[in-house]
Amino acid sequence: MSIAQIWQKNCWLVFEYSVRTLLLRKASWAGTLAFAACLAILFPFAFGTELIQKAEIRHGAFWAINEFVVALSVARLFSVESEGGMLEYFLSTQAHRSALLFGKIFYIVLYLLSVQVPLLLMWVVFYNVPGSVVVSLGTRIVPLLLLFNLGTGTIGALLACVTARSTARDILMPLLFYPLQMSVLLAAVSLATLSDPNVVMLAGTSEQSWWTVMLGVPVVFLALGVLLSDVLFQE
Amino acid sequence: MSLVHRDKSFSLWSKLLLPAVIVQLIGWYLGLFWIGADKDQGDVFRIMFVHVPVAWCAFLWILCAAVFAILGFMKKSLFEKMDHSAHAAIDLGTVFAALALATGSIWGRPTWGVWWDWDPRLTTTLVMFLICCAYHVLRSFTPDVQARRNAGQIVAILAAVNVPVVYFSVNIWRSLHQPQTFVRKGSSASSDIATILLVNTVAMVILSVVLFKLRRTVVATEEALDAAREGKQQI
Repeated sequence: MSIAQIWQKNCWLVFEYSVRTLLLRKASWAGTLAFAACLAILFPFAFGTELIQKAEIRHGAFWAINEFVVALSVARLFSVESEGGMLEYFLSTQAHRSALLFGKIFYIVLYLLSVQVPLLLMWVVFYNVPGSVVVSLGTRIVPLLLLFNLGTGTIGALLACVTARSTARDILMPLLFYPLQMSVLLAAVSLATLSDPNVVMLAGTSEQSWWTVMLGVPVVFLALGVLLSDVLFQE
Repeated sequence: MSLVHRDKSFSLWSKLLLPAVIVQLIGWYLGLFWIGADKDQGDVFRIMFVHVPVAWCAFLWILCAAVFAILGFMKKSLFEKMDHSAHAAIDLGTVFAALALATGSIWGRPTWGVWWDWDPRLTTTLVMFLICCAYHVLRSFTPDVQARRNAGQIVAILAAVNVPVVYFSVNIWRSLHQPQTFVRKGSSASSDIATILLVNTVAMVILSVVLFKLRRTVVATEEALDAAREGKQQI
């Protein structure tokens, strides 16, 4: 078996283990979705039910909910493994540490997507999203969600490792996570708003620049993750 | 012994302080009295001779912190020294980023009519400053020395990722902020302004190097003292 095949197998093993654990503990998934639903209800009251009907606010609210969901999910990314002693097992094997990181990143992308699909339906209903907006958003929402999840998931996974041995992890995770992923959030909101036929964008707004940000952030942070994986995963 | 050695090393660098102060005074004299007021902005534009050098120093030291961190990871024998250097560099980066934000805000009030605008350059600079702040919080909340060094070095590298984003933000997105001054042909800065800006930048860079050496000595001494205190408590 080549090194690439071993790496791929290890990555798949971590991914499979995480998915199986999630299937056993469905409550954490349901809890995350309930949290997202609470936020979806909270925003119209925070901004005012009339203002939330405005296209720009509506799109912003959806991505802001996603943002909080990601922050909650990545904070618990390695909790199951560390509670069950599985993390030590993975680290004691010959497997390359980057395989562990990639396995967890792929898992978090899928996990977030599984929460975002019902959240999207809630958003369409609660925020009275017009049919024309749903149609125009339809073609780009999947790549947008996948890239958003990949970008924020990668940053979150790196930071989950960095803050693993800190005493005030609850404070540190958002403190590091929100500034670092801000460009992904800005890009996601802008690209979603650009697809809305009710929004008139100002001249000079470049769609290509935002796609570059959406693609560039995961590439940069995944590369950093590979290079730093040995330091990130220390017992 | 090592502390005495560091002091000697610092005294060599401290000799740069006098030329830095002289060059800085010349730069400020030229900026305040020699060059005339701007046709559009009046005297307000003179703050640029402080704002631009401190912003460049912020970029410089945050990038240096990442270089020190990478060197530390590459050469294990230098890891401790490089951690001290990266820590001191991030300290300077934080101070210079705060000064850049403050001076920019002072300039923005009479020019744009507001203290703050959600302009890409301003927002990305604020994000860069927040990441630097998070670095300090992370260090103070990680009790284990080795884990603190690893986490700190990783965040120093992550912080540097944001520097090109800040620098090129005026090109990528539609911005109120003026474009890069010296990169493009036919730039907005005249040769007089460019020369004065260069003098002020040179002065600020030399001053920052002296401050870096001083701060690095303080960081190393603080760590040695903490280690001594912990050793005493264990006895």
